[in-house]
Amino acid sequence: MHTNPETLALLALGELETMPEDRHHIDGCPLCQAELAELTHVVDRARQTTGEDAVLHAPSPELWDRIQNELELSGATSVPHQHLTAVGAGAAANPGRTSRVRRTVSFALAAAVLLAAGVGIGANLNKVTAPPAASKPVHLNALPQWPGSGGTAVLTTDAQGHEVLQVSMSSPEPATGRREVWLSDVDARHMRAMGYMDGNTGTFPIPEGMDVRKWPVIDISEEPVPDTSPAHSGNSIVRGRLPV
Amino acid sequence: MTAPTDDERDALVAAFLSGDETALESIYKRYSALVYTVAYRSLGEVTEAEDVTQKVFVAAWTGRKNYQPARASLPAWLMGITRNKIVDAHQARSKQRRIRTEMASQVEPAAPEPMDVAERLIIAEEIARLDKVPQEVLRLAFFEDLTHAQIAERLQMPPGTVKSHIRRSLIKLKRRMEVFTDAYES
Repeated sequence: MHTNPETLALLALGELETMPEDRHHIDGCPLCQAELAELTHVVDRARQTTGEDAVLHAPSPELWDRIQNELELSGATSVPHQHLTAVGAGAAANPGRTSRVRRTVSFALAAAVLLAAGVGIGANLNKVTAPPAASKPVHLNALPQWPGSGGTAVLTTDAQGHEVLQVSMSSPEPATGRREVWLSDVDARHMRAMGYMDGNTGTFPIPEGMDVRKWPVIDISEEPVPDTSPAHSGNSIVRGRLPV
Repeated sequence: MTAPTDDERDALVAAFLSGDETALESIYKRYSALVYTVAYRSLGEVTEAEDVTQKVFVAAWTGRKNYQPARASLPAWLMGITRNKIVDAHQARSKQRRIRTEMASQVEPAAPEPMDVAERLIIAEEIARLDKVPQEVLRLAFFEDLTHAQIAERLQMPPGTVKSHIRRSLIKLKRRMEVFTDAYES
């Protein structure tokens, strides 16, 4: 008889001392050996994952145009303007409640690792650079668990010449909390809270010394009320990337 | 929208092989983020990662006759191409560097193996997709190194239930990873 699959799973986790009879069987059974090796590989890989692995980044929307041009494809069909799509969101999208919970967890994991690493907000501040001119408005795309949501963001300057981020968004889902705007680096390793939306719009000054080109990813989250934690709730509604 | 069934997958592959451009677009939508993230994590540079991503999908389209569905899943085939293009990019880079410095002995710092990165991304995603309870069980087993008995106590659950969560989840992770990496392993 083959080794109990649950025993193999625990062995892969390094938990069980092998019983002599299991060891004897596995040594002589290529099937059980292969299964154990594969499960051990999964466990090893899983233990190597970090919060960074929980987020996929989409290439810029223009890349699809470049590919179409290079291949001389006939149709300039609709561009997949998805940003930061999850692996499963495309391959096996399953929106709905459970999906939202799962996605939340994975993003929360990234945030938790960020906090665990003791990364201070603004630790990456670099020297002041000249503010870029008003950027093209970018579309903010709904995360899979927020179908129908969307928004736009534009980087511009106010009357005093200070750089500001103007954001608008809409969602078919009623707000159950406050919606907060974040900027993060392309790795989503560092995030900066920019402030809460005022209804469906918001204008956020870019702090002196913040090089927004290093923080191109914009994310709007739903935060609980009262918002007792300064960290991202993990519940992102829309995301996009500033063309900086 | 639901998860693609085997039939849908087969139809997509058939359309792709027959030269249907919309199939390429669907494939791009599904897998470009994975390809790009693996490239970005290995190369550490946005422009190069986009170049690699472009090359992967161009090569997939122009070389679609070489794809044998019986030998590998479509994503596994794409990941194989991705790996090769990333290796090419690293080689081009060190060649550039050699030319610049005329020091053939200078080696690039080791970059993460693209397939390792891909596997980590896929596993992290799959863990995130597990239901709440099995996800918590795995998290405790993987990252807090608790034994199944300790997990049972922590979550107030029979040890047998914990064991079966662990087994089922590990098998899910394994299958998911195989979809993306089997061509490479063989």
